[in-house]
Amino acid sequence: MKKLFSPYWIIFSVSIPQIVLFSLYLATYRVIGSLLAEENLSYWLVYGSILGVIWLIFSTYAVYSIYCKHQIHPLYAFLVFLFYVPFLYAYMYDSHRIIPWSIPEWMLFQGDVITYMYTFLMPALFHALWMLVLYSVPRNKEHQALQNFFGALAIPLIWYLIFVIVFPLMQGGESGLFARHFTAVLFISSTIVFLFLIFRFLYILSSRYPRIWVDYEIFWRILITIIFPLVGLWLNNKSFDFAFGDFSDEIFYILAFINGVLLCLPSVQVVFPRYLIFIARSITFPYIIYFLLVFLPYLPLSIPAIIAFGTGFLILTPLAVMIIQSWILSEDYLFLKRFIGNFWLSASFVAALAVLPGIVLYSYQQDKNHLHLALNHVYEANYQPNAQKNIKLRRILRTLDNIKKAKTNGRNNFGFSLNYKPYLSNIYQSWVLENLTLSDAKIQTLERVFVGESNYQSPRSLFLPTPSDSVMIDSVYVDSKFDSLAQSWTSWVHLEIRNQTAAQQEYACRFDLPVGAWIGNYYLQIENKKEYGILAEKKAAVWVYEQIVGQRRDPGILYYLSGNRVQFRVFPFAPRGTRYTGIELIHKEPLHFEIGGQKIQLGQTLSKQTLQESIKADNIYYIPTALKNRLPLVKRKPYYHFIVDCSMHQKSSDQVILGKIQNLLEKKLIAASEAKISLVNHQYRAYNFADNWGRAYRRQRGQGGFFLEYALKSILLENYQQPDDKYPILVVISDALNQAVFTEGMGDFRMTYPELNNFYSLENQGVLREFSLFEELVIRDAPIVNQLAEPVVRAFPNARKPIAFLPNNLEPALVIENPNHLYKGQSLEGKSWENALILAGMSQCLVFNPYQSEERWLPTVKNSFRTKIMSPQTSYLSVENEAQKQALLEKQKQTLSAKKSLDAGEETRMSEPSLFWMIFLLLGVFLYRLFIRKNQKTFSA
Amino acid sequence: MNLADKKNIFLYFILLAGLILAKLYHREASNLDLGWILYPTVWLVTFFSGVVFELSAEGGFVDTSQMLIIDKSCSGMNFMLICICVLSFTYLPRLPWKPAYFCIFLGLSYGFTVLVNACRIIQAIWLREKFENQLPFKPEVIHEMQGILVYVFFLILFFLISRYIFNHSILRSHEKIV
Repeated sequence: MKKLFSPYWIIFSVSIPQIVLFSLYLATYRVIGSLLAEENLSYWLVYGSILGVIWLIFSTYAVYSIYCKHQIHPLYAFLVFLFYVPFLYAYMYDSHRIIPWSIPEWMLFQGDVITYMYTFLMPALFHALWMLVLYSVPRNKEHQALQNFFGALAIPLIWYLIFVIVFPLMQGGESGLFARHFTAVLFISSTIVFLFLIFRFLYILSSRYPRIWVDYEIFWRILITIIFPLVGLWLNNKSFDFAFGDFSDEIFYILAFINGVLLCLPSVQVVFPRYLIFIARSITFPYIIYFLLVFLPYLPLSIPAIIAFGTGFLILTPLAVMIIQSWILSEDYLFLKRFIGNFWLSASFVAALAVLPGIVLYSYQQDKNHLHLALNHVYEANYQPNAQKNIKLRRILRTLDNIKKAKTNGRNNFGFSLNYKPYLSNIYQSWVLENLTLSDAKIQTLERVFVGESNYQSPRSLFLPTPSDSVMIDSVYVDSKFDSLAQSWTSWVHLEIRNQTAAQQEYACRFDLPVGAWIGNYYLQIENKKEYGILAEKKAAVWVYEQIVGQRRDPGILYYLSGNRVQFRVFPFAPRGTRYTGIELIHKEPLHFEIGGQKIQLGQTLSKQTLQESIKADNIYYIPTALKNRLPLVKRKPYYHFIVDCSMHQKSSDQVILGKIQNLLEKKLIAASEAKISLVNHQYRAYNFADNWGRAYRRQRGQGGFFLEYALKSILLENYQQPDDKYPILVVISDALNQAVFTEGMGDFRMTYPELNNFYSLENQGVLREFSLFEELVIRDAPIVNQLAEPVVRAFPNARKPIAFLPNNLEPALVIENPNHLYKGQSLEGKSWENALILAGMSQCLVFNPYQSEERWLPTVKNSFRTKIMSPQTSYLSVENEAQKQALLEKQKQTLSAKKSLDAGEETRMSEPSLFWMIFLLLGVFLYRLFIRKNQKTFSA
Repeated sequence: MNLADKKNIFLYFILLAGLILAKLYHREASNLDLGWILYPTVWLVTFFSGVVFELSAEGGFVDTSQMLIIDKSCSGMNFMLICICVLSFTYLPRLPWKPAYFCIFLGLSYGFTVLVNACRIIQAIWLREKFENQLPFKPEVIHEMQGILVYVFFLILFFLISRYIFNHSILRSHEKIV
């Protein structure tokens, strides 16, 4: 026990925790600093300086004591209380001035920094308390344990009387304020005295009556190590609405029970069984340390908890179990050391300690792997034939369940988040999701793809505004300039948008960018000042926009939805208010453009000559309308490609499917030869129609959802990659077409299907219904088709050796020469139409090969940043203040580093290996050296 | 000599504090701030490999033809700190306290780091040229593995050489290092 007077304890209880605390606050300050008013900043300065000075004094004292080989003076314990208790008390009152309530929770990337203050200062107080207990019980005197016990008992009792009798009589005003402060100080002091007396009682009892522990050992061990933890968990979960976190999983109860049983086992004197018990106890030790950390900030609550519920003493349980377990482990260690030796025993202990955290991290890693597999399958899909991986549905469901729980924002009666496991939830968030959230839409999509249905409702959607149709573009002013050097147009489209209603509204509209036009800048007028948009990574920008909208501040955003379709949103519009905003487009030829129902002419048609030749930039061609109209017309041969639903919604047998197909073939709309068939649920398998696909259908049917988009894209990409004289007629056979899953939509794949804009659904008797392929899927009132169209297309550059086929219409077109082209080391600089064209090529290749995002995504995003041209991966966002910009940059940093290997594709950084690996290896070398030396000494002895 | 005597404990604390400060400096420093270690490294890499680097806008060095970047993350600062620790923790406690010793350790560590780091980068460029996409691991994994191997090898070499030198010269009048 006297070891508690070693100065190293100051390093562990004061110096190190407070360095961590400082770094957490510093990181928080970096984000929210610019949002803080001068008054708040002065609080940061005062509290930071006080804490810094206290830290410096105690740390210097610790170093000095170590240097002089002194023990800690008991005065230190008094000073700790003298410094930290008033500090924490004042902090409790001023915490809302340090982190004002106006700071949104989502900006606090480091977590709940207010609570961290209590967590990281508590070790110092706790250590000091133990020191005082030891100091107050000199060995050479006799002490009365019962006095302490009754003293401790009296404190909650007196407080109960104060709460019942004195508080109701308390008056308001200045004297009332003083009384409240006085009561609070008294309350804190009595809490300390209470804990002091309790510890003192236990200590005196153990030193005065050592037999009491031995004689009744099994009873108190069972009570403290088995019954109290189980009751504590049960009460927290059932009666107190998960007051301290959600510990409702069975595993918490099982571990508490196992740990309790292990601690109640007798100390056998045989080496091997004792060693096994020691290892088992070491394995469960982190479980208790975890609960100690969870309860550490709440230790001062033990008195009110005792007063309010009588069971508040259970808050002290993890502390009590931790002390007992440490003591038992040290006993085991001392016994085993004689037989096993220090080195191996310590190594076993450390390895055993790592088991539970290791299992938790392994499980998290598995969740992460499967989540990535699932996300890759849906959002970074590989459309090449037979490229899919086997995905374990159960693991994905478990992961999604965990993510949904983490996202639930409900709070219990105590103000704590529901479904929140202290620390573990934060680790899960940063480990599995890399501190990004999975959007509600993505959770729903993943569930629909892998489960087949989703009942998940967005918990936040209620707070977000709904765009109103009554907010409309009032007037448009276009300013087009022709750059004769670059031979391209720059057009500013200035918009005046008016809210026609008497309520606050959001404006949202979708518009199609003409082929060959790209967005190069954007502004939103905020308080008579043009706030130009920041070009940011799309995920980060949309996330920040929605967070800002939730706080009712001013943002505006532009981003691609699918294909050339752009989403444009501005918030908020005051009742009957008008806002001004503008979009800059760069384009090669004069063109027509429609936004919010307003038709606009960009550039002057008469003043410039029409483009007659294609423009090639790297892997992409721009085909102007004039040239396209001169290209040869071609009529390709159609063939059926049947897409059969195998999801949980599909009930029909393979014979029924076959019957439907034969009914269609008998109609002889097109030739039946060369027909293909694909079986689709969350996975996709393609067969020739003549193959034995029935068996595969029976095996695959009834699992997961109907991921139709994946199948369609795979088929169309294959068709585009091999431009020949055939094209598929897409026929879907499904009992529940309305359950088909689409994520991004098919707009990005428009260029792969020049003949048609639709697909068909096959019903009984060979009836075909027509659906739009590139627009939103509308099931109702789909027209019945009796004849299939015989479209013609244009072959580019010629019909003999075409690179691509183009739709026969009056619009310009883009052609990707090689859909799998890798833009290695492509670094675009400056805003120009040619760079925009190359960027479009890069983006389109990424759309065709989402699975190569690691190589393609980051270069595309970076080139978009460099050229200031918006790509489908980026977004223009205007925000109101500096803090929002900082939050955007922080989120962007996280997004860009979420997959670190993304850097590899574009440029190679000659980075040093990480310090962690170096230290790990050196530690290995060092231990090996120690081992060799020890063996040498043993031999020579 | 007792490693845990008063002077040494004080020394360890000073060294640890210095280490933390140096890491903080490294974290906050820009590429230009680290020019004192980046310039000689890049010069050596250019001299031996022939790859010419240009100073980029961010203060790092870029070879645009191969898209290679040498910036603060490649400075060798971690390696230099480890070298300083190896020398200081091993020999300072055994020597009479003179600031000159520490300055010598700093100079040795700096010079050795520049050499080793240049060697690491040249090797990495060579590996990238010869074996890109031919090995079963991702390029960044190979780069990391190569970096660790080079560093650990040279670190052990550094320790052995330093032990030889100190045993045969400076520590003659003091105890020898085993």
